[in-house]
Amino acid sequence: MKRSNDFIVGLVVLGSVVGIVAFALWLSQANLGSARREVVARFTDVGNAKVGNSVVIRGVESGHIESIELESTGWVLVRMALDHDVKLPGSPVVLLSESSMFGEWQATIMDRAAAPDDADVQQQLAQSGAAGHGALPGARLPDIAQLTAVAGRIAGDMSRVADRVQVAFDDRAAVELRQSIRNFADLSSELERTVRVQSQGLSQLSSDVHRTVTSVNATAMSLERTATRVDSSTSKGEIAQIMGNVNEASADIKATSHDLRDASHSFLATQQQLTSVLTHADSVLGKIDRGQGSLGLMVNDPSLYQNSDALLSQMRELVAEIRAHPGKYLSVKIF
Amino acid sequence: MIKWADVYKSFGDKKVLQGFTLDVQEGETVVIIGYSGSGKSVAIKHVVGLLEPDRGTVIVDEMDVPTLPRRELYELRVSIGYVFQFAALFDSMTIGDNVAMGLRQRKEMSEHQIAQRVSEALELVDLPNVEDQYPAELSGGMRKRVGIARAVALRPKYILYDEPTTGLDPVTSAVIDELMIRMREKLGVTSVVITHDMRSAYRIGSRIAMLYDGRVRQVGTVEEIRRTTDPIVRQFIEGRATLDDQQPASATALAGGASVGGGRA
Amino acid sequence: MAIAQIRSVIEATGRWVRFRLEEVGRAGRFLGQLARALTDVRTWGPMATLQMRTLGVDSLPIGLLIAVFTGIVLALLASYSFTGAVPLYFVGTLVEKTTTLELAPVLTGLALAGRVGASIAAELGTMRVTEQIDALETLAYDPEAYLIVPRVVAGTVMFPLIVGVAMVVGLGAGWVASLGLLGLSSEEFLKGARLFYENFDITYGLVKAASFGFAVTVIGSYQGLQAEGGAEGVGHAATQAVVYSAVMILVLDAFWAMTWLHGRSG
Repeated sequence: MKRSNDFIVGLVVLGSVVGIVAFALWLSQANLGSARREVVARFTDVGNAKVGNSVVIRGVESGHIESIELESTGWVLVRMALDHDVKLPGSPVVLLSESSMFGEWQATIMDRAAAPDDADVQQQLAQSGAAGHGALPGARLPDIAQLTAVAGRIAGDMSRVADRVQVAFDDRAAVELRQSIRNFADLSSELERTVRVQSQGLSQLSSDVHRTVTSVNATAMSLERTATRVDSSTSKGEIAQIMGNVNEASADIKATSHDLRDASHSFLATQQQLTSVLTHADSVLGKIDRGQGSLGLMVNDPSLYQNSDALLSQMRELVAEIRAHPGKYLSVKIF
Repeated sequence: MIKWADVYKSFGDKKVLQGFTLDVQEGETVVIIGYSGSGKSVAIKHVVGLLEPDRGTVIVDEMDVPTLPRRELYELRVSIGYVFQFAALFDSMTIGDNVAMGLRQRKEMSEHQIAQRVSEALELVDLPNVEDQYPAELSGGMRKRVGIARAVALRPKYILYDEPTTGLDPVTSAVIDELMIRMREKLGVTSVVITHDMRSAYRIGSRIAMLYDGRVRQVGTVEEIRRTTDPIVRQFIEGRATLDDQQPASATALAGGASVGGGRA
Repeated sequence: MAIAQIRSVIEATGRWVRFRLEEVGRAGRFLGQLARALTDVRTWGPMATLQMRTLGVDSLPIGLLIAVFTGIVLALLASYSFTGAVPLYFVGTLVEKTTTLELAPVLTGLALAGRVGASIAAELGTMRVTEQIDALETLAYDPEAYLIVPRVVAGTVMFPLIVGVAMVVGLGAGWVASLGLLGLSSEEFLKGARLFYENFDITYGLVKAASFGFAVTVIGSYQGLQAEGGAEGVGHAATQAVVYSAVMILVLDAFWAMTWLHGRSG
């Protein structure tokens, strides 16, 4: 009776101890039998990395983090156990990063040259490498939360720009701009004709000129407003160039209108002067109208505007997509 | 020698022993009689240290039981056999194991010697060849005898019997009485026997003590008790419902002060 | 008159406090005796195996039964709760975490509180009221060392083993249920189970189980020894043992969660 109790209890105790230990080892994916090699890396900060997180080399899981120790010198030493037959890259560095959106981290061992060209990461690697021997340089990548925050900020800026550009270059604005340029051209040719028929007396001319100048002034101001709107929405590149052109044009128009105003005030302007001024303005406007220069292109080619609009909406979609699936775009392998 | 010296014991508000004083000399059998619930069992439990007195003390072989260190108390217990009212056999064990329990604890004898001693003890109580049975398979009387066998197997110097014949038929009672007498005569055991069975008390007792109201009302030889003039003792030993023919029993409390006997010491 | 009433109220309060303190004192002395008896290995050692058999090995079936059903239900619950918003392989994570950390220890503990606690209280209670415990003492046995320590040791050792096996079986049942009922693949389930697994999970569950085993056996023994007054007293002791054990398990569960789990950065 007693002996059989001893036997059964012993059997159950041994059986369950073996079972539980095997269960724990199996769950933690410990490799029994095959020897492991140890690699230590030094970090300023290990983010959310924890003991047991996997170690990845070229995308292949090759071990796990065994311990994380805070050193008195201010560094964090991360000890990793790697499968025995794993070969490390030539000058290995260790990057800690998020491996999924659910807060799990992994350590990636890669060649120094393949490390992301990010100033912060490079600085971490350099500092860690300079801190001493015996440990691989390590860096911590910003986690997904940070990346998505940055991406979100960029996306917000882009959509604001897109909205402004859209406001500046909606169909009506383009038509208006073209209309006013055409009006201005018509007006200037009429002015020319009027001036040419000079014999009808100076008083007649004077009131005509006055009226015309007012109209030119208004047109110029409208142009200027458009230009300002374009100006506020852009900062560099092609759009900056467009801006330059528009500014130039508006300055020309402003100058013209000043000249015209001077002429109307003094009544002393000669036909040649007026003609030359008007010809100058006409040539600028004609150039715009003919589609030369960026502004002209934009004004006369709706497809360009549509392209830029389409580009912006694509960017917006991309940002949304990145937000939804950051892992797809922002995985460690990209960086 | 067992000596109760002015023992007081109460459970909560219930005062059981109030100045109980009695001593038992080597080789004699003292029978304690008294009403149910008068504290007879409580008194003998003090002897083996199952209970500690609130006041007073119990001395066994010059040892002060309540203050004995644990180890010495256990050594003392080995020399005292205790026969419980309902035998208190371990019902998860065979009769043989029950009887052998104390012997095994002593760790002086081989298993073979123990088995021999067990069968001797069982033969002594007229229960041969029951070693492999379980207590539940035995009748009440048989169990009581096993209880006695368990106590005597240890060859104790003292045996305390707590109502060994209560609830048994007259023949079995007589057998157990015989057994208790044999113990004294054959083994020279000093015994304390609790009983309300006066026939049994007269048969086995060297002396008889009546426990009443928490103390010894009267103690004396069998003849002294038989001839007692104390009305309470008389009432008890004659088994009358009233103190005398008219007065109800409860009235005796008023006459409680007129104690006739008393502690011998 | 009024003064007398106030006095009686104050006296009643004082009496109540005294009884409670006495209870605490008794329990404390009991634990002290237990600690002393623990040193008497020669007495309790041989008895421990029998108790490990009756309290431990014989409790395995109930523990396993609970584990199987818990595992299955957890897997189904998890998939129901996730409803597409969370990848289905998290079923594995949920089953692993809840089984090892909480359900295997607590559910098994509660079931064993009934089985083990009541049986100890009833057995010791019966021994108490039939004077078997007194008889043990008169035979120079120390009841703490002979009766209680083996049970407490058996409970403290065997509870974690049963719970450990329950963890294995519970996860296995959850796995099978995921495969059979949820159409999850083995790889997915294991991926989920391993995703957040730490050895701490099992350690925590087992330590908890050991504390439950200790509590259940100590409470059962204490209630059993306190039993008085025949069958009714024994029944009362058994009921008290189960109730106090169950409460104690929940209290200990909260205690471990607050002191050990809470401090860890999740």
